[in-house]
Amino acid sequence: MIRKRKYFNDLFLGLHNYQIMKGGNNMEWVTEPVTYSDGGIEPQGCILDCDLCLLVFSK
Amino acid sequence: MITEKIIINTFVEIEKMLEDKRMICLKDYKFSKYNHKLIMNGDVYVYNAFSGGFCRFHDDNREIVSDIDFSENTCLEKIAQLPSDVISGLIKGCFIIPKKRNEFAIVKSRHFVNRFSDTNSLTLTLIPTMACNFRCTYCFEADKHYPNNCMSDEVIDAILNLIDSRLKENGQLVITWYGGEPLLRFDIVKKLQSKILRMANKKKLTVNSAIITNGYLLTKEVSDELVELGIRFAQVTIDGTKEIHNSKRIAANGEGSFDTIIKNILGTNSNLKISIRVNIDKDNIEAMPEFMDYLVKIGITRADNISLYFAVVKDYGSEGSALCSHYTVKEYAKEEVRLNEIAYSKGIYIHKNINPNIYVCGSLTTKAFVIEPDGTIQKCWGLAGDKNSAVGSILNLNCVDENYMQNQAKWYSWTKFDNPECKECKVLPICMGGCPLHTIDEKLNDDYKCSTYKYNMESMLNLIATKYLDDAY
Repeated sequence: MIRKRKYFNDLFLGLHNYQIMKGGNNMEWVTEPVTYSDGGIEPQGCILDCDLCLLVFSK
Repeated sequence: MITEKIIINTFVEIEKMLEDKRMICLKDYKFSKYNHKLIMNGDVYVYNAFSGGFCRFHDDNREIVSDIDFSENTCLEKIAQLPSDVISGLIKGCFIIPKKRNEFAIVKSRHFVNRFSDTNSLTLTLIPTMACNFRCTYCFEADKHYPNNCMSDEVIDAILNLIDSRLKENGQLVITWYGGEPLLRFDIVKKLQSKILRMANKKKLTVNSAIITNGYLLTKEVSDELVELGIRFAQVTIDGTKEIHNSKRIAANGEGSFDTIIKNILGTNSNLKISIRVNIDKDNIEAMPEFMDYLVKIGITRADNISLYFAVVKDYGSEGSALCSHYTVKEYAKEEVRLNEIAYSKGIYIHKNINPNIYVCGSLTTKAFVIEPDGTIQKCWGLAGDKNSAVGSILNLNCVDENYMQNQAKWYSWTKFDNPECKECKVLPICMGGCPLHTIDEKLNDDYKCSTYKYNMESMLNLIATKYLDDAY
């Protein structure tokens, strides 16, 4: 699985750099993913999302 | 010149090689079940609720992506026609995922792992008094009659002991002051918060502190002291124009509270971030455009430290609930979009990110507690003052009580992962099963268990995309 992921990283991320060199820029992020492509979640200011929570500034 | 040619030829060869490989590799991939496709002004956007990634495709690819459904169980064939950077982006954003992956199982497992793991963190909601200087018509604490009690030194010491025993060095502590009206006993807030800060300093804890107040006593001097105490966030509720607000959020002496709250908000220390909560029901919604115009006129919306958000008034079955015209979640979902669109058109910035969550509420974890003035421990602040719902007492943490155990079990065993509707829902990674209280407390209306995103996802994404385009171009 790790080998496979590395392969994809080499394949697609390497090519991504190549596209930028070519001047290609075919998609853009309105909001970046907070979960990694392997399913892990990026640490955020607060992982809770309580309905009444006011700590919206920290998210 | 020669070198350049070699490089270009090499790239062409690599590209050709990768083109072939890509076709093979994509066979091992499928679309995520949490994709949401949106077409706005001819542009195609896709949002993924599992990753929170939201992307826009450029003109060159519009034709190809317009034809792609992005739904689970549809063919990936057309994806291969997209440029490689787009494909890598689709993988990064989890729009396409390995065929073997069971996303539901990952959402479920990361929920349970985080919910019950020891993360050296503690979230405490502290209630210095249940007394309140307001008599809001819809208040869910009205049945408890706002007893004029306050937190004793014994309870304060027990809270400090709890923090000390639960958190190791470099731990994370979240404190929310709640009530009643916490500023009625600002002396207790100051006393306990100072002691917490001293302990945090010794143990190198990170402390995030906030206060939920009606704003009536939030003078400039009080806001200066809050900032000094490390309390940098305050939530204040205003329910609409002066006439409407004063009819809903009535001071205990019968007077209106609107003018005092507005004056206080405008005068607060700018280091205190204020989130204005506007509770919406069928009685005040039509006055919202006028209210927003007023906020713009007095300059509140230009202040960097003040933001605004709308929340539906839920039916908690309290005495006041009968006087309130509640929306169902489905009804409110439509209104939420309308309110946000109006706000945006008036230049009011509404904070609205749609992010995946690990769990919807800290109450489900073993790391979050609500402490009442007499030391009673609750799991949810919606139950403040309800002794039948208590899960313990901070004055006797070793007490084995049948009611406490039963109440704890309701929260710690709560799950929506076995609910067939939730299993198939495309917003599950965001709502994570919704508000637990509305399914745990059988007296409550379970209509409020679902998130509005279940009904208005596309429209809310549309609004976020509109804002993004306005900012970017």
